Amino acid sequence: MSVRNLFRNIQSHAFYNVCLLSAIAILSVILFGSIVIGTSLANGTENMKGRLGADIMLVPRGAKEKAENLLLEGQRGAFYFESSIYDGVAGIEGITKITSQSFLKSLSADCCSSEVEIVFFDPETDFVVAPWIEQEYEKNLGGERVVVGHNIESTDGVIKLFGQDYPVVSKMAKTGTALDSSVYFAAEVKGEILKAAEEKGSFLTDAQKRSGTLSSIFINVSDGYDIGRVIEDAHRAVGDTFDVVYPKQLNESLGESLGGITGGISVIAVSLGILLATLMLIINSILMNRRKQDVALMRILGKTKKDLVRMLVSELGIISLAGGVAGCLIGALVVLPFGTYIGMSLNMPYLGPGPGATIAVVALIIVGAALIVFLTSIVFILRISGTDPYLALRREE
Amino acid sequence: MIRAENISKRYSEKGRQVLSGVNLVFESGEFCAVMGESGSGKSTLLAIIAGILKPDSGRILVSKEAYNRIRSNAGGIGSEEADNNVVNLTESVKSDENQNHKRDEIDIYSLSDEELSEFHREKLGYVPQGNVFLKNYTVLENLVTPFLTKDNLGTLNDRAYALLESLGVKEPADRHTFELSGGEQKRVALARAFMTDPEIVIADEPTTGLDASTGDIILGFLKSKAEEGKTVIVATHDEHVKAYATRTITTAYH
Repeated sequence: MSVRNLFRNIQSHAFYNVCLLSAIAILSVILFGSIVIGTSLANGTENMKGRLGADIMLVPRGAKEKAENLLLEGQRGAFYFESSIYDGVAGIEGITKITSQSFLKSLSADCCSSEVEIVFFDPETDFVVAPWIEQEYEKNLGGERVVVGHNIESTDGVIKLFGQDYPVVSKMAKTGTALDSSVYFAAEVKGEILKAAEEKGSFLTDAQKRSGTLSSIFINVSDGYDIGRVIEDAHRAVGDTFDVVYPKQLNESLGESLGGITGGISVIAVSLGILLATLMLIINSILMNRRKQDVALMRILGKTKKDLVRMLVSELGIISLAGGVAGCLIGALVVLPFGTYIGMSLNMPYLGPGPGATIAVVALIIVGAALIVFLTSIVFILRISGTDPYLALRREE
Repeated sequence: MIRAENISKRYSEKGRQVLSGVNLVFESGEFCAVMGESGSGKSTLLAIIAGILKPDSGRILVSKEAYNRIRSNAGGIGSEEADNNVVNLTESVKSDENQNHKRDEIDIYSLSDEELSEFHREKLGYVPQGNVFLKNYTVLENLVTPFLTKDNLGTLNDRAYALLESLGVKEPADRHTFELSGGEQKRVALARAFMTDPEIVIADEPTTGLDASTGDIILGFLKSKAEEGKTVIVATHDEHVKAYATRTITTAYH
C-alpha cells in the first residue's frame, strides 16, 4: 500500500489516531525532559566534581554560603578579606599548593550582551583555573591578557571591556554555570581594571576598590596530612577571620542531591510512561477494533495477512514518528532554553548536552516510542488479521 | 466448478448447528439462488464457500485445473513452491473414497494464506451483505486500490469505468461511497467483485432493500455474467431472483 493511502487510512480514523499521536507526543516530552535534565545535572555535577580541585577553600567569615553557591552554580558573591591572611597561612605545614582569587561583582561590559563576572587570579600559583582551560592561544598570560569563560566570544582574539581591548590567552571549558560568563585577569592588573570600570560608570563598593583584598584562598594538603590540623594551624596564624569550605564534601552532597533528583525524575517518568503506555493500549484496542472491517474487506479482496499486518504497523509507525518528533520538539522548546534556570532552581550545576548528544536522545526516544506503540498494538493487529473475515464483517454489521 | 463437501458449522460450542453435512456442486455458467428463512444458514453457507469462514468440518473444492490456471496467470508465488503445494494438496485427497473424481480438486481451506489470498484476488468475487467500503476513498479508488500493482493502473481504471457504466453508476472518480444511495452502493460493491474478472461470484442479499428497477439491473448483470460462463451464487429472500436464477436451493432453519 502506498504512503499516500496509509495517510488516508490514518485520516479515516482521525480522532483515535490523534489521541494516539498525542499520547506518544506527551510520552516523548516526558522522556526528552527527564533524559535531558537528568543528563545535564549529571554532566554538570561530574564537571563540577572535577573542577573542585582544592581540598579546602578559605573565605571571609560569614561568606560560607555565598562561597558554596560559587562552587555549585558559579554565582560570584562580593566577599573580601585581607590579603595578609594569605601570607599568614601560606607557610603552614602540610600545604602543597595555595593560590588566591578575588572576585568582582557582575558588570556590564562592551564585549557581551549579558553581565560578565570579573575574577582576578594569580597565574604563578594557580591550580584551579588552569586545568579547565579548553583552548590555548599563542599568547602568555600576564599583564592585560585574559582567560575567558566558555560563553565569552572574542573578536580576532580580543575582547572589549570598559572601552579597552584585552587579548584573550585561552578559553575555559563549558561548566553550565555563571563561570561560563567570567573573565579572568592576572591579579597584578586589578588596580587598572577597577579604574577602567569606574571610569566607564560601574559602581564599585569601597571593599572592591580597596587594594590588598582577596575573596578566597584555595589550598591543597599533602596526601595523608590531617586537613583539620592545617585548619587549626591557620586559625592560630590568622585568627578567626575565615570560614572553611570543603569542596570535596560538597561533591559528596552534590552526588547525593543528584541521586535524589534523578531518582525522583525517573520515578515520575516511569510512572507517567506506564500510564501513557496503558492509555496507548486502550486506544490501540479501540482503533484496531474500528479497523476490523477494513481488514476483513481487504482480505476478501485478496490481501494476505502479512500485507495487512504490514499496513497496520506502517500506519502506526507513521503516527509514532510524528508523535515522537512532535514530542521531542516540544520538549526541546520547553527544556533547552531554560537549562540555567532549571539548574538554579534545583541548586545544582546544569551542563546541557551538545547537539550530537541531543540528536542521539531524540533518535532514542523516537525508536522507543515506536517500540512501545508496536508492543501495545501487536496483539490486536494479529487478532484482527487472523479473524475470519466473514465474522469480522458480521460483527461490524 | 466449485463443490461443497459435507460442510458443517456452528458458531459456538453450545450454539445451534447452522449447517450440517451440506453437499453441493456449483457448475460454471450457473446462476444459483440460495433461498430460505432468516437464520437458516444462507449467508453462512456462502461465506464458507467463499473461503472467508472456516467450516467446523467439510471441504470447499475447486478444480485443480482452474486453480493452476489462475496461479500461472497471476504469477505471484514462486513456481517451485507453488508446485510443491499442489502436489501436497493432491496427495491429501488421495485417501478419499472417490479418489478418481477428487484427485483433480483442491480444498481452498488447505491453501496457505498467500495462496488463499491469491484465490480471492483472482478467482472469486464476494459481495457482502452490508455495504462495506474503504472509508475516505472515492468510488473509483474503492474499485482500483485493492488490486493495484506497479503497472496495472490504466487497465484497472478502464475496467472500473466499464463495470460501473454497465451498472449505471456515474462520476465514480468524484464521489465518495458515503455519498451514494443504497442501490448505488450495492452496484459499486458488485462492480468491485468483478474487477479481476473472477470465475466465481458470490453475493449475499444483493437486492435486499432495493427498489425493483435497481434489483433488475443487478440481477440482469449477474445473469449476463453467468451466461458468460461464470459461476454465480446468490443468497436472497427476494422471490424475484428466481426469475433470473437457473437453479434454486432452499435452506431450512433447524
